[in-house]
This record gives sequence, C-alpha cells and structure tokens, in this order.
Amino acid sequence: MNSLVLGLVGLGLLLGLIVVRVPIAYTMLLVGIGGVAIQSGPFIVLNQLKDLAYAQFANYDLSVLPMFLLMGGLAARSGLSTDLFRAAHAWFGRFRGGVAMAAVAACAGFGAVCGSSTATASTMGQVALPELRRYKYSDALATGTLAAGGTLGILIPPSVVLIVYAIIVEVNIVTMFAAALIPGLIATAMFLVTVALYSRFVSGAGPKGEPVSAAELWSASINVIPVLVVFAIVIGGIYAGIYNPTAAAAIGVFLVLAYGVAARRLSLAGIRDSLLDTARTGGMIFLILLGAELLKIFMSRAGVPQAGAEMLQASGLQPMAILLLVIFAFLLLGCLMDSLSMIILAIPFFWPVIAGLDFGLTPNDTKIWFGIIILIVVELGLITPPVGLNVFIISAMAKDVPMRETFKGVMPFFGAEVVRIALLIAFPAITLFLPHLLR
Amino acid sequence: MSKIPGRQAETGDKPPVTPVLAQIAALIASLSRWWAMTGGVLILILSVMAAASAASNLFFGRPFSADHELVKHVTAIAIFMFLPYCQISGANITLDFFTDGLSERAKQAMSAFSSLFALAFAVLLFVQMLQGFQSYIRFQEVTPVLRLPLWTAFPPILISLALLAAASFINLAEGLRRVQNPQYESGAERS
Repeated sequence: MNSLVLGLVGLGLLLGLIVVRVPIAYTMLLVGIGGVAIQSGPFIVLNQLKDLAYAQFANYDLSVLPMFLLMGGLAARSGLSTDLFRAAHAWFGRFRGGVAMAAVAACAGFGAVCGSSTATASTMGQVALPELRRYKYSDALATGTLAAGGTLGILIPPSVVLIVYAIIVEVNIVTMFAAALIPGLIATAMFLVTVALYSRFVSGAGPKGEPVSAAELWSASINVIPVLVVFAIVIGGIYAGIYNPTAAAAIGVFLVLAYGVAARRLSLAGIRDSLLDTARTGGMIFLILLGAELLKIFMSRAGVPQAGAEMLQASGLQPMAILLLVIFAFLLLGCLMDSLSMIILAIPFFWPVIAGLDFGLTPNDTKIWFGIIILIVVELGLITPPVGLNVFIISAMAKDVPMRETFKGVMPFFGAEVVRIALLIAFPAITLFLPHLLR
Repeated sequence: MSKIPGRQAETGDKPPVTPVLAQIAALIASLSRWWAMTGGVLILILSVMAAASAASNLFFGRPFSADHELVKHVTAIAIFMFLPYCQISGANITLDFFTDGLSERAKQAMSAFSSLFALAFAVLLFVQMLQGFQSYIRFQEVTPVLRLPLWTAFPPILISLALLAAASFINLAEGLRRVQNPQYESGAERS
C-alpha cells in the first residue's frame, strides 16, 4: 500500500474509533502502534515499546504538569476562591451587575493559581452561584458569567493547555506564560465590560448590590494577600528567571499546601481528593501524550501532515486566509472535543501548515502568537454548544436552569472573545510584547 | 472501601445478580485508587523536595544536585501509577457527542468495546516492558548523580500495567454484563 494511503486509512480509523467512544488516548496509541508495525514491521515498534513510555514520561519539562494540577487541586480546596470572591464582591458589588463582575474578577484571580478551566469553573461556581442567586441575577447572566469566567483558568498563566502546546511545538514554557499574561488581562477586562453592558441593556438581569463598609473592604482585601503572594512567587519567579517552571510549580504546591494546613482550611479529605484529581487528569494527559508520540511516528512517516501542508500552500491562498481556515477548523473541533485532546491531537497536523507560512514574524514568534490564538479558540470550545464542558459543569450546579439559558448567557462573552481573537491577530505585538521584554 | 456488595443478600429480598464479579470489581477499583493516591503522594513529596532545592539554590546558590533526575524518574513512576485509576474511574476522555442519542444498551456495548482497547494496550505494554526491565537489569544504566539504576522504575510500572490490565478487564466484564442485564450494579462504580 502507498504510504500516504496507509496514513489516511489510519487517520480514518482513528476518527471512526473516536466516534464510537473509544477513549482518544487508546485510539491514538493502538492506531499509532499498528500503523508503525505495518510500515516497518512489528519488530521495531515492539522494541521501542520496551522503554518508550518510560522515556516519554521521565521528562523534566512534563513533570511541571502533575505539579500544577496538584497545586490547582489544593488551591480549590483551601478556600482561596471564597477569599477572592469576597474581596472582588467588596470592590465591585455596589455597581450594576457587580456580583457577576466580582465573579469574573475572582475567576481571573483563581486562574492565576490554577491552570485548569474546569477546576476554575467548578470552584468559583460553588462560591459565586449562591450569591448571584441571592441577588436575583437572571439565570442566563449568572450561569453564563461563571461558565465563561471559568475559561480564565487557562487563559491566565499557569495554564495546563499552554504547557502541553509548548511541549508539542517545542517552544519555551516561560515564553508562553509571558505571552499569555497580557491577553489574559485583556480577556478579564473585556468580560467585565461585557457584564456591565449586559446588565445595562437587559433590564433586571444584573441588579445593583449594596455598598460595603470601609472595614469590610479593607478586611476582604487583606484576605487575598495569600493568593497574590503565591502568584507573585510562582509566576513572578518564572518571569524573572529565578527558577524554571517545574521548580515554580513545586514551590506553588508547597505554598498552597502549607497555607491550607496552617490556616486549618485543608482537611485530610481535601488533600486526598486533590491527589486523586491529579491522578485522573495527569494520567489522562500523559496517556494522550504517549499516544500522540506514537501517532506522530506513524503519521510523519506516512507523510500525512506534510501532504496537508503542501496542499494548502499550493492552493495559493493568502497566509491570513489559511490561518482563518485553521482557526475555523479548531472552532468546529472545539464544539465536539475537550481542549486538551484537541491540542494534542490536532496541533501536530496543523502546526506544520502554519509553520510554512510567512506572517512577517520570526519562526519562534509565530509559534508564540499562534499558540495564544489557538489557546483562545480551544477555550471557546468549553463554552460553545453542543459540547461545552464549562457549561455542563455550571448546569450541573444550577439544576433548575435549562442548559439553553446558560448557552444564551455565554453568547455575549463569546462575542467578546471573537473581538479579542481579531485584536490579537491584527496586532501580534499584544502577545509578543512581554516575551520580547523578558528575553 | 465501600460496603461489601454481597451484603444485600442478607437484608434484601432478591439475591444480587453476580456478587463475585461485583466484589472483584470493587476490590480492583479500591486497589487502583490507593495505588493512584500513592502516586499522588510521590508527586507531593517530589514537589516539596524540588521546592526545597529551589530555595537552597536561591539562598545558598546550591540546589540539590539530584533534583532533576529524581523529578524525572519519580514522575514517570507516579504517572504509571495513575493509569489504572484513570481507567476504572472513566477519566480517559471520549467523544460522546455523536452517540449520545443511542440506547443505554448500545452505550454499554461501546464502553465494553473500548475496554478491549485498554486491555490490549495494557497487556502489550506489560509484555514489552517486562522485556525492557530484563534488558535494563542486564545492561545497567544509572542516573548521573545518584547512580540510581533505571531498572528501579520498572517494578512499580509493571505493577501499574498489571493493575491497568485488571481494571480494563473488569470494565470489559462489567460492561458485557450490563449489556445482558441493564439492572446489573457495577462493583467498580460503587467502590
């Protein structure tokens, strides 16, 4: 069989198996192993399997992942979310839509110590949803804000998705974290504006709260100092080049654990659940990464990504048009798949396409710029129907709100994100400013 | 640990469908959970060690020289220890969208079918890594600083893969049982 045809058959088989609910990781693993076995005989791939998995997992850069997962898990169970929301509420509560604004700000704050969107949505949902209800916010605004706000978990560093992207396209994790910060802050600002506009134009959706006393404002603000300290030490230390991301994540785990235990907020059950969460998500990610490695060996020998890239380049389309096509493809995929498997599965196919195009940027800058754009695009997959993981999480908490309402409430935020993507495409400097500054 | 599934038989009216399978499933699920938790504790200890190393580097200009190699070696072991729990708790991501409308029975059949893949992978990797273990013992490779032999990673990895095979087998057996009898109560889920 022609090697390209074999690759395409493998790709078809891969998609077919994924559609009938075979876990994405196992599909990639077995199609990869099977494909390489057909390409070059079973002996070579069997020999590789003797230590490939160990060699893949024993990677210093990757070890940052379980540590950041553990840090996020511990942070979620240390009551940091409650402190953040209380402070944000003290500041924003008096405005129209203020409680929802507080939820957005608290999500951003929590995103600064947690690298996962779903963890951010579920943690902040538990804290903020009862308050939004108490102040009689409309169902759409309340649930939509939390589902969208949760995405700030991966948009603001640390970010698990960004780490995985950095490892796949071989770009420095520190650089990616630096690149994500300004766009993440822009997202936060735009979400705040979205809430303000929504509450202004949809009457009764986001009523005003009562202003708090100066004493409460002060004490609530003091309470978020631990979060700020953790962020400053972990992410600040990475930016300043004092230590590498793995060491920073390790320090983060230690700090959150020490704080949780010292403040008597972290129970033994909380630690146990954090460990199990880390096991579930960590095992899931690493297994997909191993599958991606085997699939990559198979596909690149078959020449599938190269053929795709050549076809697009030969099509005579402008680089920008191809970029928009790729973004559109990721948006479509994002409607069906979760963000991580999408990055791991699709980036190896789409990155060669983008890498071959000229956007007037250096190859490394293109990697950074494209990574941040794609991060936003896959994050949109978390809030778009039919499969929006964050929406599912918030809906599960607000059982009386039809999911349609939540998707409706998310739409203004979706609009804000489209504007932000356009901004980042038009002005690569927004993304590249901080990485260049830190270089 | 959960309640013993067989206990229903003493108090309930009708006997449980297959207490043996459900009991084994509960046992494997519980083993997987403890094994994963142990892996999590390893990550926790590694974090504290790496944090101490970074602090030592910052204040005294001296990191622990074995910091990197320990983080690599032990993270790899811990990740393998997570895999059985991922399998039995259904953490591995699937694409449910296209098949959401199908009957419960069809979904059970698909889930049983997919456990077959996990089982095949676990068995294949176990057999190959067992050979890898043997050759790492024969031709010793060690980490640069501590001179820790690399084969030390393999025993816990092989245990993890055996447990992963057991977990996938349980998922397969329970899935098939559910296809036959939708009332069957999973021991793995109850655990």
